[in-house]
This record gives sequence, C-alpha cells and structure tokens, in this order.
Amino acid sequence: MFPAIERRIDFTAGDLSQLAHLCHDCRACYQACMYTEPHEFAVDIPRVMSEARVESFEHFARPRIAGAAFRNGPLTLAVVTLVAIVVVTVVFELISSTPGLLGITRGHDSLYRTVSHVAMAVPALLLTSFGAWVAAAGFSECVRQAGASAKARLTPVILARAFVEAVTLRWLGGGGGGCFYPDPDTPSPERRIAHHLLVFGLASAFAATISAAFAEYVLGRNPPYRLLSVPVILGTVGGVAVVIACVGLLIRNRVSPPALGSAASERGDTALLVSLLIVAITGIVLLIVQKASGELRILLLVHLGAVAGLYLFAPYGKLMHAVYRFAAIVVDVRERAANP
Amino acid sequence: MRCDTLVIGGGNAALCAAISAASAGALVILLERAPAGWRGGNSKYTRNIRCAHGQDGSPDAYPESEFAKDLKDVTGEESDPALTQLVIERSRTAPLWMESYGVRWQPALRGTLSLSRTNQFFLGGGKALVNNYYAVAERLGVEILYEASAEDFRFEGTRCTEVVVRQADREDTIEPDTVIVASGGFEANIEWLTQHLGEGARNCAIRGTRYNDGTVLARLLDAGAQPCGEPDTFHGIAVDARGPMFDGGIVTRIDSVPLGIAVNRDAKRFYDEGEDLWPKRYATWGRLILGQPGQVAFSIFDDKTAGTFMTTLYRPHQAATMEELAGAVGLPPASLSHTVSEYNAAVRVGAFDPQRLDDCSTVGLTPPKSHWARAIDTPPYYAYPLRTGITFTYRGLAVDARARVKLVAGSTFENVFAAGEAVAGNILTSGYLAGFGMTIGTVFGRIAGEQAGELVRA
Repeated sequence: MFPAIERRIDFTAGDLSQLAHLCHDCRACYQACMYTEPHEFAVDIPRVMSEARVESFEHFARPRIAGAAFRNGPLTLAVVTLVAIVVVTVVFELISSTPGLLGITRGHDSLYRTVSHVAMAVPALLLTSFGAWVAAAGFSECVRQAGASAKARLTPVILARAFVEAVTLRWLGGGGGGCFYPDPDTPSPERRIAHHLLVFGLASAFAATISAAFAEYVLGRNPPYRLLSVPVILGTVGGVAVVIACVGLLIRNRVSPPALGSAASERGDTALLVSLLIVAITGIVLLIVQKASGELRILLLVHLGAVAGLYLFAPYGKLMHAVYRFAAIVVDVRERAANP
Repeated sequence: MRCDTLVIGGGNAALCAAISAASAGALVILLERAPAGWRGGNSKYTRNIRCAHGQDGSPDAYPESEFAKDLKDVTGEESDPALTQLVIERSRTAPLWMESYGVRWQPALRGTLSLSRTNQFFLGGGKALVNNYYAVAERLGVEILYEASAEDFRFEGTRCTEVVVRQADREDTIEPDTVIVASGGFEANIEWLTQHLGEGARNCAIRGTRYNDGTVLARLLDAGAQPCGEPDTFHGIAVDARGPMFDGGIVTRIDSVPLGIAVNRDAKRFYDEGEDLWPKRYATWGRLILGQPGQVAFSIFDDKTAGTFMTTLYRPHQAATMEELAGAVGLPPASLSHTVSEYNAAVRVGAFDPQRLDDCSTVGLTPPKSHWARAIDTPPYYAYPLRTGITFTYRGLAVDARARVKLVAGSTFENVFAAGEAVAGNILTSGYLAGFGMTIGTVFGRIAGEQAGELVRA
C-alpha cells in the first residue's frame, strides 16, 4: 500500500478506498511507525484503513439501501438467517408432499425426496445470480472511482497478474517483514495459513457442488452419494477445513489488540465466520446423520436456510472484501504498469 | 550488580554495540533512559544509512573517494581525517552485518534527497530497525533496563569502576568491566543549548527524543574526557514552525526552501536559497534560521512550485494574493509584496531544472538566488512558517580508532568507549550528510562492542 501512497500527492475519496482495500491488514506499519502512541500524533494506520474498508462496503453496495441495512453485522445476520430458515421451512411445508419435519427419508434419491431439486436449485440460482450482480457492480464501481490513474485499459495480463497477487496474498507479507497479527510485536504466518485454509475449504465445497452436478446431469446419478465418492470427499474435506479455519480465526480475533482494528470491522468478521461455521457444521452433521439413518428433514432445511442466509448476506458483508481487494490490486497492477 | 559490558543508551549505536559485545561472549546490560514505548532515541526517526559500496567504475557504485568528497563538500574540514577515513571504509561492511542480524531493506523512498544510489533504506524505517535490534539483543541475552539512567561514574585512575543507575526512585550501583557510552548529544537540554547558542535556542524545535539531555556527556567531560566538536555546532534543518517542540521527526522537514524564496519575520530575504543542490544545503538552514530575529522564517512560493517537493505533515498557508498570504502568517504585507516584486524583477528566465544547477538566477539582487529562480506570480500563493529543528549536537567525546574515549590529560580511559551521536563531533564540524549519522552509529557501535568484548576476554 505504501508504494501506492507515494505515487499520489492529493487523495480523493476513491483513492482512500483504493488504498484501504490494497491494505491487507498485515499491521507491519503499526510496528514500524514512530508516531503511534505514546507519541502525541497517535497514528494508527491499521485502524484507519479498517474503518475505511467498512465504510466502502456500504458505499459500494448495490442497491445502496441494502448496504446501509446490512451494516450492523451479527444482528442482521441473525435476523436474516432466522428469517431465511423460517421462510424456507414454511414454503416447503406448504408445497411439499413428504410428511413432517422430523421425518427421515432413506434410500435411493432420498435427498430430492426430502426437499425437491427444483426447490433447492431455483432459489440457489436466484441468490447466486443476485450476489454475482452485486459483486460485479461493486467491482466496476471500485475500479472506476480509484482515481485519475484509472485511465489505462484493463488487459488480460494485468488481470492475470492481479489474480496471482491476490490469491497468493502477496501483500500480506508486510513488504518482507511478515504479518504482525494478532501480536503487533511478533510476525506470524498464522493469518496467512488460516486464510488459505478457509479459501481452500470454500473452494473444495464449491468443487463438491460442481462434481455433484456432473454426477447428476452427466452420469445420471442423484444424491445421496457414497461416503467415498468425489462429491462427498470434497465436501467433507472442505467443511472440515472451513471449521478449523473459522474457529482459529475467531479465537485469534479475541487476542488481537482492539486498538489496531475497528469495532465495525470486527463485527463484520465475526458475522461472516459464524455464518460459515453454521453452514459447515450443519452440513457435516447432516452427512453424519445421512450415513447413519437417512435425510433428516428439519436438519436439511436448517442447513439450506443457513446457506440461503449466507448467500443473502454475502454481497454486503465481509465476504465482499475479496471483490474489493481484488479490484484494488487490479488498479494497482495497472498503475505500476503505467509508472515503472 | 556486575556485568562485562554496560551500554548506556538505547538507540542504533547502543544496540549495535550491545549486539557486538554479546556476540563476542560478553555479559551485557543496556540502559535505556526512556520508557519502552519511547525507546530507541533519535534512531527511530531515521530512514537510511549511507555506505560505500560497489566496484570502482561501475555506474551504481558509491566508492569511498566519492563518499569522502561528498562529506567534505558539506562539512568543510573534518575534525579528525583518520577517523573520517575509518568510518567511510568500515561503512562498506555495515549493510551485510545489519542483514546478518535481521535488518531488511526497501527501495529508496520518493521525495527524499536523491539518495537511491548512495543510501540504503531499512524496511519500515528507524523504528522497525530499532525494534529488530531489541529483539536480537534479547535473544543474545542482553539485559535491557528501561527508564534506567546513568547518573554518576566512579573511577580508579583511568578505569571506571562503578556506575550509579537510577530507575524510578531506586538507585543501584553497577560494576562493569567495560562501559560503552551511546547516549546521544545534549540537544534536549535547552538550558545547556542556550549557553552556546544564546536565548534563541528556546525557539528551536528538537526534532527527536526529549531524553538526550547530555547527563552522561557532562559527567565524563567533568571526569577529564577530551571533548570533540565545537560546543555551538549541531545538525539542524528548517522545520514547520507549527510542529511539536520534541519528536517531530521527519514529517515536519520543509523542502520547499530552494524552490521559492525565504524571508524573515520582517519579510526580508536573508540568504541565497539556490546556492547549491538541496541535499548539500538542507542542513545549513537550521543555523541560518537560528540567526534570524525571533528564530523564525517563511518559505514563500506560488502554484508552479506546489506539489514539486516532499509533502509534509501540515498544509501550507494559502492565499489568492500576496497581501492576504502575509496576513495569514503574520508578515508585514507591504514589505512582503515589496520583497517579492523586487525578487521577481531580478529573475532572469532560464531552463528550470531542480535536479541540477540550472541557469535560472537573479541579477543585481542581494542576496542573490543563484539557481531555480522563477518569478512568484501564479496564484494561489503559499507559505510555510519555519523554525530551526535541531537533530543532534556535535559536542561530544573524542575517541580513537578503537572507540576508546580520550582523556584531556593524554591517552584514553582504560575501559570506557563511545559511539553514535556522542562521537559525531569527531568527524562532523558543521553541516551534515544525509544518512551519515547512522553510519557513525553502526560503525562505532560495532567497533566499541568488539573492543569491549576483547577487553573482557583479556
């Protein structure tokens, strides 16, 4: 982030947002800053950047009214997830033909006999498309507002380089000194490892869905799948990775000094981690019960409801940092190409 | 309490000395007078170190001969040519030594004084460097005492036998085999400054730590140590007058001076702003402003110059007319306008180039502006109020090539060494070369630590 700061003299709001998202919160700058407390200037760059990021989530959210509504983190999550579960449950109760919430369905095609394929796929498709639209709108707005340097074209090379820098978390390295989280005095690879584990877990779960779709549409086999099938292995490994990473991050969040973060950001972090945990844990329990007895309807509805809540919440909460940070890296790669 | 080596000070020189001594096997105690949150003295405000490097003839090289010439250009005669030569030569191995103890580098910052070839920037600046050294020192078993000040020394002949240390209300005595003094100059001691610089010293800002009050210097000079440097010499620059009286660091330095005009509080110019390249002249302005009425000055420039130099902490005053600008900073409006129009009339148009000694100068103006003279005629107009910012004082302890403190009576103390700002006056007489303070600290810190280690083993 600091080389990007040095390329500018005056800063617009778009510049600040750009720099805040370029910042990966490694906190090396706090450790190195001679103007932090007890100095009277009391500079705290990690905190300022954290607050700027939270503000930009709201600023770039589309539609804007939703961005404001979702600012409150965990409370909103709780309400949204609860509402999602209730709605899902009621709707399915009304339209379904299978009996009762506590019913267990076994055997061939038990998943879709518990909740129909259409009833799962259509909402999922709607929510995913909506989320993708919000993400794309946020991304392009971010890039557009990033300042005067945003005149050059985005080439595939720039996008590819930015993708690599984003995915490897290159800029979490503190310029070479490492990430100073959660202890501002000691560099540690914890955060990088936890983050990679989390992304891996989500990617694995996503791959599970893809492979299941393949099994269904190409191979003609409906779920439930064997324990040692590709979708189940990918999904289980993904879920376990997500649980470990989320628990790790939640625990370490408690240890980091509040001064270096911002309350709003912490709320958003916790909200996302908890919602991911709920999805992952309900999914794993669902699998265990399925293999032991069969599809437990209420459990499936809770899991689907939690997923729906996550998807509804995702375009406005912490998960969007992936989009904005990627946008910031894209802009930065483009700037560096223009100013060697 | 006893130890092999007592290091007095907690900045770069002290840490290099402590690390060198501990690496040589000595039992080291380090006394940092400040609380842990303020540790590191002036070193935490530094950013780079100047070292000789490369092969002669290579375009990227910075050979010892050029280093020596650069030093002579800004300081004139060195106090001690042999020690100057020693520091320049030993600077070559400094970066490798620093890296071996965990120091990392970063590309030279933009907006610095054209330093990328000659100076190396430590990643994260001086505070990160100091933090790294403290971690290294702890790992090597150095005992670090914070809020610990050395108050008194006891000698048997030329051998220091005891040092009295105060921590809060407690006083302890340490019996060291060797002592390394790296506790800086006396710039934070305003009373002592006024003795040599006059009452005007009270109007100067101290750019660094408020803990360098020269107590240890005074004690050793009283005990017969030979002083180095003239008592009224110091490294000082032009800083923003609105900055804090202590600990302003780098962000209050004003670099607009050579690109505009500088006036005193009577709105009169008093020196050639374009005399030479800014890296060679920036350190003369501390003394220049000290000599002006009220120890204040103002850097005046127009919109052409805005944004062409390193930004500072505070925004400059801004106005649409010169009269308004005068009002904003408290200058007599008619006088300022007169000075500016007189200057503008004397400007001869040339090819403006701030990177070299261009041909934009004034004719028939006293004092002249030899380079980078452009008419100040494009609103808005800007002004920075300036004060002298003292970085450190040059009066210190004379040392020999083994960093041993010399005695007035001849020879040296048996077991007292010194490094850092406390010995800068052995080399610097007036003026300063960017990054050289860290060179002196690292080179002499290492020498002192190694020598102390050898003495302990013997």
